[in-house]
Amino acid sequence: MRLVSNWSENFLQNQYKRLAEYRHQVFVERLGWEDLRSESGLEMDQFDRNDTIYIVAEEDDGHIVGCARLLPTTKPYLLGEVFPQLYNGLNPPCSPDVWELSRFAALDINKRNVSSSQVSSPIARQLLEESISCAVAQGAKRLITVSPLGIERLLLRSGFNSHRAGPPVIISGHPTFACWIDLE
Amino acid sequence: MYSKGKYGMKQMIGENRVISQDGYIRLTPEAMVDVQLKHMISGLDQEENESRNGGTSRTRITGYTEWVSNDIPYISLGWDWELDVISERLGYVRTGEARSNIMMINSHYIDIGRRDTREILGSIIDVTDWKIVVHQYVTERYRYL
Repeated sequence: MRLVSNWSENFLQNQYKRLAEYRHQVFVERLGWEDLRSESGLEMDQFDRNDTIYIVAEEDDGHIVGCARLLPTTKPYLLGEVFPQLYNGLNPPCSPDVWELSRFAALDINKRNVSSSQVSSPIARQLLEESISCAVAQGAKRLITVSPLGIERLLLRSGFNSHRAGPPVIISGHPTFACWIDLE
Repeated sequence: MYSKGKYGMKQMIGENRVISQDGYIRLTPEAMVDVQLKHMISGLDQEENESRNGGTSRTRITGYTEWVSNDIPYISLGWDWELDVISERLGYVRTGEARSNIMMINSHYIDIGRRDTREILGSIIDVTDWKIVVHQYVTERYRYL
């Protein structure tokens, strides 16, 4: 297994397509996020731009087993545009010191007894650490994440300096939070 | 109501609590004891329960519960629990640390730290009647499963 991180514009077309297929399989077909469903079977939104950074975990044969997305908060990002209520009345951050981590999944779709959790794979922590390294390389001192419960648990178990930004919203019957991760 | 303050340029002032730009709500343990929390949602960890029991009858199940304060800035508090279903009593046990947006402060308005905050929150949780509330909610939510 290897971790690949790069700007969106540097991904080859077939790599990008495989990532979008994986995201659809995880977030739509596995987790039931119906708002993201597309007929093409490719999951992309308005925050998948040329300046988006992706972190992809893939096997030697190219099979994707995990992904994450990083966005600067100085441009439109998911939490700021779609879930500002998760900031508990504060203005969403807009700072070069703060990056957003979203579309985080560590799940091998091909495995039997596939979990219903998006972070069931043992590579979840490696993927998280690589995502944080990428963010730090871009000057981030804090991350804000869109976090279903599984990611919040992962952050705590892994010993990261993290806390939730406020009460969750309920998506498909499950709580989703904004979580802060202090990187300094 | 907003003001400049010790923890950042902008703070929202609520009753006995302050939310800072770092996202934490700061309050003393004494003020936290007085906070009225309402149950928001509870659920089962279906994946863990299935893998542990292989689809046969369960002796122990795990889940989560989420609570929120009535007024702003909202305090959010959640924790995991485990239920021993063969126990004759209501065998819910809180497992792991409390998860929240809270940082407790001492009388000098200094942070007491994440670990101590979680420990105090756990102590506060453990003397409430959360088990009854969670049991009623989960029983109703999963009635038809």
